[in-house]
Amino acid sequence: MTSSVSCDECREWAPELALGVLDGADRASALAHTMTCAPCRAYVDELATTADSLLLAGPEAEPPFGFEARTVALLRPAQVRRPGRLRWFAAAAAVIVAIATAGVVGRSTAPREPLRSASLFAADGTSVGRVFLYGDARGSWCFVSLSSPSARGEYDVRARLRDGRTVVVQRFAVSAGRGSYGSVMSVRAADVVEMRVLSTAGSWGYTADLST
Amino acid sequence: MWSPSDDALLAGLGSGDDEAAVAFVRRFQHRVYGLALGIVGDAGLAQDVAQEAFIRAWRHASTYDARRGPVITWLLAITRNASIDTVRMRRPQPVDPESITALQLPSAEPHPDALAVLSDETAKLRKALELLPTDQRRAVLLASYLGRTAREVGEIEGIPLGTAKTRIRTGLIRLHSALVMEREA
Repeated sequence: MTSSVSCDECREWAPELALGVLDGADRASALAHTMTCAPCRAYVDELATTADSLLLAGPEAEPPFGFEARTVALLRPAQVRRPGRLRWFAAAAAVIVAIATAGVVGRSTAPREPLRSASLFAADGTSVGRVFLYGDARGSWCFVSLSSPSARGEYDVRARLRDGRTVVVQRFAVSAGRGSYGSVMSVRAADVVEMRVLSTAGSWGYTADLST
Repeated sequence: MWSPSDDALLAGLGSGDDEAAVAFVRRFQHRVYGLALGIVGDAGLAQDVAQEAFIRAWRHASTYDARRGPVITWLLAITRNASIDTVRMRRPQPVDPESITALQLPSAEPHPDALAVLSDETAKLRKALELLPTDQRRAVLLASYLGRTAREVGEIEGIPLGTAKTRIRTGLIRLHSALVMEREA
């Protein structure tokens, strides 16, 4: 076994890991251990099954009138709307203003591209944050926010373009389980079809689909 | 009357089948909305969260792995995560964890097979939860439903970090053991 964490330590962390609430550094250590230790991995999986099934004890409630029709209408490719997106636009707008006032870009009346945004998802479908892209004739900017607890460390922000190329936009650090970052991009925002935020440790990452 | 399985509905939803989408939402909306309401504690927000959960399920239908549990568990985990996102952004004071599972469970859209299994499983879970000491049950529910870390549980409950970790750990392990024994009985 190559992990520096013992099985006893991993089992101590297993319930919090299974519940998805283990803090960043411990979480990374525990996950690294389970990658190389099948019995601990099986133990965590068992507890995770119990943790997930706990939600079955939750309540049912009658949704408001029309909920079903409104929801089904959203489940069509051209009509996806994100509830509650205003708060994100406000956050992105604040960063764009901050970049502009910091002198990274000057005042511009050049044509603007619409602000684009998408949720960042982990491999298990969990939403961990959001990505915003914005651009005009003078340049493009991106803003990444990790709102769910993520492992501390450095992350590379990469953009995949329509022509298939992938470019590294910037590297940023996550501390206290969360982080956000805004920067000028060397590529046009309109050409980006996917954004990835990858741990430089290389063992995990998040993806935002901007193809639609 | 024949009714498609949850797995089949999810596959249909993921492939863009409108009828499957209607049936999927109809079958699960009471559970998804109910859980969202229990966590965020506001009808308007709960509606946004429930819709977000269905959108995530639709977008990530292809990632569902039946070996890791039934569709309803997967969908409720998505709902819980979407609810936690909202709570962290808009509601710094968490709802009382006991109140989430204390809400009543009205019968919703009739799906006899699913409801039979669900009711049985729900009853077992509730029984196992009731048998936990209150402090452990609160710690487990704070972590499970509200995504609170041990540090946050400690702050909410006014206890040291080590005590919070012990309550979460002991509570979940006891719950797991009780459910395993129940299955094997």
